Amino acid sequence: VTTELVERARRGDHAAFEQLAAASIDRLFALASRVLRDQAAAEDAVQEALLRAWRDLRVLRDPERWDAWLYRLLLNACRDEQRRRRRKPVAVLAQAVDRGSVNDHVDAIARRDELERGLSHLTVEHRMALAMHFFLDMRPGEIANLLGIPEGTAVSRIHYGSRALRAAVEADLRATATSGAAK
Amino acid sequence: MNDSFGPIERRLASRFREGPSHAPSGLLDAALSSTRRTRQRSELAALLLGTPGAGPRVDSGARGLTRLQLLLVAILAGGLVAGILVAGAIQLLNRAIVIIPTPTSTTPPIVPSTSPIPSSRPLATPEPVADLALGLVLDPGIDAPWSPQEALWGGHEMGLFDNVAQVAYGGCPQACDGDISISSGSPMEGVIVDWIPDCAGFEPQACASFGDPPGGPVRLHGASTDELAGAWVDYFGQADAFARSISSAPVVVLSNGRATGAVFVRQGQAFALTVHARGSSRSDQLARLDRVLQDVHFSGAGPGVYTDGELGFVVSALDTGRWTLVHPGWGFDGGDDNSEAFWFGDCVDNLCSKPSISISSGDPSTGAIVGRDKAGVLLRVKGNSVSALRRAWLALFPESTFEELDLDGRPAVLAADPHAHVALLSIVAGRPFSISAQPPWFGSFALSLEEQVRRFARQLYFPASWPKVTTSAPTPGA
Repeated sequence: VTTELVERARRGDHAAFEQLAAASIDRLFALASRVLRDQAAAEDAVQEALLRAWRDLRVLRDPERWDAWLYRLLLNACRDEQRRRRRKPVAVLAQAVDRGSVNDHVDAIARRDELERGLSHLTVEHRMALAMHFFLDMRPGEIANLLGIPEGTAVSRIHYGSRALRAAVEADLRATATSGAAK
Repeated sequence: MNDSFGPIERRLASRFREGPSHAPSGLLDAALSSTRRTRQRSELAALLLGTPGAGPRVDSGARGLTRLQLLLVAILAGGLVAGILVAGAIQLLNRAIVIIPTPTSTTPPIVPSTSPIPSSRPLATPEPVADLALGLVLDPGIDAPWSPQEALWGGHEMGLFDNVAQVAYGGCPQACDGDISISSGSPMEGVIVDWIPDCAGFEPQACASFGDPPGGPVRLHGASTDELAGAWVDYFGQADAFARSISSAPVVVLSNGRATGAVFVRQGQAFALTVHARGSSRSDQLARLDRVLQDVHFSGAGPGVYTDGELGFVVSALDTGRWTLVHPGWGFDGGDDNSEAFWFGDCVDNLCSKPSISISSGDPSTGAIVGRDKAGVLLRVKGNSVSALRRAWLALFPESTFEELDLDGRPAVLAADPHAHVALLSIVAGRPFSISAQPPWFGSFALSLEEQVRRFARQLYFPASWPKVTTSAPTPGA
């Protein structure tokens, strides 16, 4: 069905493109949110990726590659969005207001900050690989195939990215163990 | 989850699972709305202009080109190279002419002169509209009325959104029981958390209790939440500290007998909410602060805070620009004090190469501001219903078309004048409300006016829920 929709969209059928976009937008937004760590930036990146997809759809000769192509467009849009915002620190994800209890400890804030700092030091490419691996549960081979990179590069990005976040996660694990022991 | 994950990987995976899994409502509509207006590029055009993200697909496209298409590519490339060579030769032969590229300007080339270029208007730095953001929004229902304190608290003469710290008050502006303020500023400028009356002023008794003159705003400086919390304790004294969060952003709440406050940092900007004791109990202060914290909402973030007394919105801009508050009674218009508008950038006189974007609300009888004519007089739409606003708009721009929108459950229209004056009109909190954009007097800009207005509408936050902008087909104006 997707292949047929892509073919129709390539011929200028906007209704077909709307179906493709509707089927992809949640996945694209979730991924962009985790890469850019900012909801507004993620929305912009998704819009830009879909706009580019529509505009340049005629160069996509193999409709079977629609998903892979869309991921690459998203990666590029995220990269552009990051470049536009690079003078500003990476923002945390915007979610509904959640109130902590009075007993919350400031350490939790520090740990979260540490993870955000770790992520902010990674490139968009690394964050994309991490998000695809840890959020979409993709293996390096699949990531390599979708992003059009050698598998070794995908492995390297995941490895390097995980290492950069390791300190933050270890602190988190230690804190969990300590609070578990206290109980 | 992948079975091969170790404890570190599992924790990372759980961290990556935090966050949204669905796109916000309205995003698909917004994206499709822009694709509908965009024509697909031909293979050849896409190849020549570049296909971002296509990667190897571009190569496969090249293999599919006909000989005629390749010939065209070669001719165009040859023409380009020849053009570059000719331009280079002209530059060598005539060094007196210097062309300064100005991406958003269609003005003639600048010929160097000895007169200095005003530093406030850099010629080659167009304002990227994509960086605009509406920021922090407070529900006016919980602490109405909020009032900006630009003059008293160190703001710019003409606007609240200068580069200094901003503050808005809930309840009474100064020194009443449990007054609450919110302030934002850059780490350098700091956030305002208190005000020391000037001993030379008219409150000598208050002055004596605060110490030596001169009086003025008390600012806390810090680039992180921890630094701000430390500065808070330095000024107000030792306090109990609690952790809170807003939209996952860490917030530290501090409370002692003197005040209760919340400090946080968002996109490099410092924010502080302060409830002064002034006779109220700590539990009352904490409860009040918590109510406000629950209504703080981010959409992007920025340095400015502003709350209209009844509407309760806050606009802000990132560091590429600023909003300027225009009081209708000041200078440009001999009108009233019942409507206000914010204008983005430096173009309050509308005589520069940037689009003029405003957000405004006003009394039904005086209207929301939707632009300014060439004489500088503010244009308004009056009324207490969307249809009344639509009629008022038609009186200003008779050739307009309208698109019906739903703005967070409120009826709204996107009014578009063929001469490129666009506004979203609605009734919010019983008052006319507008987001309007009009073109610069010269030059061009990245997004269409309509796209900019839609963008703001999508990012605007009304208390309780996000606005959901849905579209319908444009209808004739009358």
